[in-house]
Amino acid sequence: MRLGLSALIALVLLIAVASPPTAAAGVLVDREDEVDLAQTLADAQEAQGVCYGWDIAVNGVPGDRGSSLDGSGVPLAVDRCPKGYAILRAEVFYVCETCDGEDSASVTVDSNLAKPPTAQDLEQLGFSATDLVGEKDDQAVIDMTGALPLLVAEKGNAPYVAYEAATDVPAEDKATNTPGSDLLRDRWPVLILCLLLIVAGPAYLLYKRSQQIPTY
Amino acid sequence: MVIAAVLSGIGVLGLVLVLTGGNSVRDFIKDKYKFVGTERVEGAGKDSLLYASDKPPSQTAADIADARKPADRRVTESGVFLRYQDDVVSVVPQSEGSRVIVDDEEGGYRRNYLFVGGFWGTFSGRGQSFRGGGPGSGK
Repeated sequence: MRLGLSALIALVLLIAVASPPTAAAGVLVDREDEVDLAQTLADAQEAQGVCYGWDIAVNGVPGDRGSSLDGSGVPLAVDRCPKGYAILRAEVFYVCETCDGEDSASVTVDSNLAKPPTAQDLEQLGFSATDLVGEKDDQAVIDMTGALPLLVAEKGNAPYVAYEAATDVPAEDKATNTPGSDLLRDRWPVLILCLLLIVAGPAYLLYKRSQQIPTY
Repeated sequence: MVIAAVLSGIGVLGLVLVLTGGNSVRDFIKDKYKFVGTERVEGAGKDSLLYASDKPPSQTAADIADARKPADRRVTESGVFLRYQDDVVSVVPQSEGSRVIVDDEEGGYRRNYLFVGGFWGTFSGRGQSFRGGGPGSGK
């Protein structure tokens, strides 16, 4: 009995060690949001004919991936994309909390289109690879991938995916978390400089007075 | 005495200029793009203002975001959406260049519900695992 149990534990350990390390799907993005993203890309593919996908490796292991063809969790099968494809590829490296160094990431766009979207195009839209190791890494994946159909159209590879305003919004749904002051966000360095200058006047006066030699 | 007065004077002048200068994204867009009309979004406090840009959406959105930093942004297959304190700016494609739509917060949310719903507010649609955040909210 004891021998059988030991053999079973050994077998489980052996399988665990021998299996290639695979990250669970949705390391950065939740499964539900990956499904939404894949559906969005599928709609874009229907409008443009171009296939889309995302493929993100985390510490060298396949992590988040999906496509307009096969949904979330499956990398894009480019051989099934006669009109071309564009895939957001990224590598994310997390360092352990006690290790030296910082988390890092790199991003490329893999495409066979005549005028492919590039990582520089994503930068122009306000994204950088470091967003993938930031607090909103999930939204970065969703937005960078979601931007591909827009960029593909802008470069003349395909028509735009038409913008449609919502017409039937549930009354209970509202905008929340109103952002802070635009003025402070935009001009805080100038405001601080002005305040420092205002304070600098009296400070200078006090300094000069303290330097004066008292006369009796 | 003179130096102290000059320093403080420059500071006060700068403060007045910053606080009274046209700072809003509405002002920037009004000055930079061609006004083409208005639209009404149900539930919005103000009419939507429509402008035309001769540049594509990503470049137009970048110009606006560079000039007036948004609190949040969404980039989607159909356009770029910028969120400010009281305004939402939508930059969407049109036959040539792009259309810039300026809404108040509620109007922008309702107009772009399909794109920002759940990201910038509540969302009754499918899946709220990620959604429901906003500026400053993380995972």
